Amino acid sequence: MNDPSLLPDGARPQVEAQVRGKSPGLLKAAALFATGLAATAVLMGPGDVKIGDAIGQMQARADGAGLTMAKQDSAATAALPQVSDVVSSATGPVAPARPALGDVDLARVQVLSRPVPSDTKAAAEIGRAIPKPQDQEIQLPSAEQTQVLAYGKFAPIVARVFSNVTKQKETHWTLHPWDVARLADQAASELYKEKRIRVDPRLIAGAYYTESGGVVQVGFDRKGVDMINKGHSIEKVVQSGSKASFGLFQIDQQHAGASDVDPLKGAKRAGEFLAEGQDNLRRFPQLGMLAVSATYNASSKLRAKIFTGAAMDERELEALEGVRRHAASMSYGAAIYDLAHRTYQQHLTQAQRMGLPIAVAADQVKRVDPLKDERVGAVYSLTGRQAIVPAERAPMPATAVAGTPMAAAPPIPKSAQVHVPAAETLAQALRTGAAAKPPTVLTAVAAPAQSLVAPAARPRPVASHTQRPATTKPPAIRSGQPRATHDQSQGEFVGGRMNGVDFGGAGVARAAGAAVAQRVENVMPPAQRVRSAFQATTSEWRNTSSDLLGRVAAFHQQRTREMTTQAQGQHEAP
Amino acid sequence: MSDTLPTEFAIVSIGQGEKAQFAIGALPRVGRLPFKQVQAHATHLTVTGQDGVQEELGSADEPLAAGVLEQLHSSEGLVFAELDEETGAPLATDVMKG
Repeated sequence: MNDPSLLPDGARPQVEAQVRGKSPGLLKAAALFATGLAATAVLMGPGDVKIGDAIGQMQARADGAGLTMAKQDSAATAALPQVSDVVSSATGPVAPARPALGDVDLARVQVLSRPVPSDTKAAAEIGRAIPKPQDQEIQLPSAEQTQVLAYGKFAPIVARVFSNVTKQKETHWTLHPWDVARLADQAASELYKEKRIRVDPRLIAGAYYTESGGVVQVGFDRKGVDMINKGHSIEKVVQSGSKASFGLFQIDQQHAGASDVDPLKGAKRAGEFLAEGQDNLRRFPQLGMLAVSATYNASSKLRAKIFTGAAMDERELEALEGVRRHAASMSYGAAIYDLAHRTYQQHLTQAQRMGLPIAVAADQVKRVDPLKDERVGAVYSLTGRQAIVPAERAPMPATAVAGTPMAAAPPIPKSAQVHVPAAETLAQALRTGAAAKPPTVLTAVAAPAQSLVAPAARPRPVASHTQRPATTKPPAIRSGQPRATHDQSQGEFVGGRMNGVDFGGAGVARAAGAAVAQRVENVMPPAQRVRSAFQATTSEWRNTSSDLLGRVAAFHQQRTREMTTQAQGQHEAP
Repeated sequence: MSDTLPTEFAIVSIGQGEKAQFAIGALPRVGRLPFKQVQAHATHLTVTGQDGVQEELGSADEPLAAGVLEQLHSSEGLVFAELDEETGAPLATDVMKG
């Protein structure tokens, strides 16, 4: 889905790592080694690269990395000793710059420099390795926020993130990274179909992750955040007229999409918006993500200087730091996209190969989801959860879910603020394109991936869904009862399967998808109505943290029903 | 000396087809490099570390790719690299030649 024009094909060496053994440490090291090798081969230029020479270079760089920090600009170095000049570092080391970085950066760099694993478990492990927010306090989301989260097919996560805008730590419920990757892909392809604007989904997702501190943010403006930090409830914050923000739109608060609630619509708007940045990225490939950030975050004068590489005065250098930080975050976001996109696509491919949708529509046909176990395992790994209590057996009300999806969110927070060089390094890698995205194929020979078992080898229990009784409810029973089956949905939601419509991510023809998006827009009930419906139905379990899942599920079901109803209406119409 | 350690390792290749070049990577083990001895079998390799510990790279059941053994016998040799678990950087290397 990536726009190949962003990545020079000629420079890509084919690098593969095949692991004999089960050690996760080796798996990781081999993958990183392969990535570094690919990057080194690119740096060594076209022609036949001897693998021995490339490894020698890598070793020399690893040995010397601690000593060779570039000292380029005295002003910049004084402020941030590790910042290296943009242009010169483009030709500098691309491999993980471990020894050169401070302790705090390390975790982030490691995440950034990891290649995309090909199996979900490993991806989840990586997700887990991302430092977690310390504060786990959870705020209840508003109905609008719930609407955004309802887009997700995977369990949402809560993240404590540092906001660039408010300079405060904020608590956010967010979409799962896999959902964000899907969102970006979908938005990019729809945007192309509709307007012939081709935007790399990495940029869209990068913006999403970046502008929202790791994942799609559902937060509030400064006033709202102040209120939340003073302990006011979300409802009060909403009533106060505080403006809710929905991640992506923070690219530009004045942007027309700033009041959109439909995340797909918002992503498309952002895609349009990012097209200009992407053009600049093409014009100034040596700047990498900095070219994108400068398009939006710099004055026209500074932008021109960044693009031409002209000398800057002290104030401009200071402003440049901000742009760099943003670029670094964007690169980080793009890296997370790579990871999430790959793993999500892999699930999808397997599900399609087996003829089963990744999400089964609500109360339609009972179908076995052979990937469920693995996905649940991955979600466990991501969230640190140990078990899911089957919804039917769990005590009512909302304690049904054993543990809430917790903060495994990849946060941008502090490190994004302060430690530029880490992500700059990655930015280098990303900007060299081939270096950042070597076609690394990782094959765990001795570690059979559960997900790769051939469909035939797997018993396909036809009608035995372990967690659900055989009571099939007809779809669209009523449209005004959001909570009808929320307990069931909770269990499935946590397992990565949300009752409801598949918005095209599972390969459902997006031709229908476009119609769906249109319909979503049309049938969206008034916010006030949604809110009051939720207030009525959630009052008894409002205080529990698993509240959210019920609300999301309930909302999703309600919307599904309304859409079904409307779809039927449309069918009947001439 | 008689004990042979089953070693977990990775074969990293660059390029495709006939042009493919290989290297072997493994997590570090104290006392391994530089190798004291490298024995090439038809399907795999047995390496002996400085400390005398023998390690099998591949086996008859899980043979190494032909290209790997070919490279061992080539003028360039086969690079064995001990990899940093966190960064994947080659910490120490040794070139094996058949």
